[in-house]
Amino acid sequence: MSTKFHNEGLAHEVEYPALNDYHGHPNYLKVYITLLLLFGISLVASYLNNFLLMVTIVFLVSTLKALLVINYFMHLKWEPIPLQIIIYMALFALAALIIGVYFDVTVVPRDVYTP
Amino acid sequence: MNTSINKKPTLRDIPQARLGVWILIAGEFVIFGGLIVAYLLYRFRYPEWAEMASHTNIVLGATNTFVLLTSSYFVVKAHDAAIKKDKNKITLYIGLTILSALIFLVVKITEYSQKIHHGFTFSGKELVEQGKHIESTYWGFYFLMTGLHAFHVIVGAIVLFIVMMGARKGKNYQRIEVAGLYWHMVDLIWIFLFPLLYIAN
Repeated sequence: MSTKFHNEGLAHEVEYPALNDYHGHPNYLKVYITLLLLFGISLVASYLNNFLLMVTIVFLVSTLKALLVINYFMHLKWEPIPLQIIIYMALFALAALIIGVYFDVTVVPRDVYTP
Repeated sequence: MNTSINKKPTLRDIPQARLGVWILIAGEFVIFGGLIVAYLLYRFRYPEWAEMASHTNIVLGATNTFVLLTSSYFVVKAHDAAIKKDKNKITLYIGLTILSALIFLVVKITEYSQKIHHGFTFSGKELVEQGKHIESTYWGFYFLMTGLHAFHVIVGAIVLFIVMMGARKGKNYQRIEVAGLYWHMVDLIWIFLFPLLYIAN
């Protein structure tokens, strides 16, 4: 094994952040306070008597919170488009799975299949 | 000092470690997403699960949500400190994140002990003996989802500790961003587990 190859194979110090990879950052405190406010909304919504309304509000708020974390804390907003597509495709596939099997699960009578 | 650029980066521009963690995160979404989808479908089909869900403790769940959201803020502050190569702040913020992880785990253990004390176990043995087979499956899902998540919290805390020790020696600042991404993913999953298990009952 040549010395050159050996050196390349070892972990080495890299310039951080790389010159072509620094985009600044959002106001993290604002994002955090918004997340706490949304968390408060979901807690208040949990006391609603209308179950469907409560579930809709709580999951919409959760989706908003997730988008804030993924875009501003995880910086997905500034990542390459193909990477954004990979991440959102995974989430889209899950949504498609729920919609795809929802009727199979809810419409088929329970006496046809019960574990 | 690094300069900001406006050009949108390509996959070749970003560090391989970060790209790797993003792919790992996409995989984790599918693992947890699959569990969440299965949970939702069972929940739609079996009203018995609603009664079981009412036994979860919203106060403990909300406490853990607050702890994880706050830890996510600490991690981005550590990332910010890494860009400025401020070792003291890196240690402070990663230390606070690890402390948050420990608080999360203590709350989780408290919650588990309460559930087990009431006869709600992974196998749901007591419920099965009462003929409540469908109800017993609820606790299998509950312990699997929250246990797998807690395992990720433990792994994240260990990784952050190793990264923090390296940064204290002035080495590998880029690892803070990568470990931070993983930690945010742990928070992201909890954002959906909390309403699913603690609110929608």
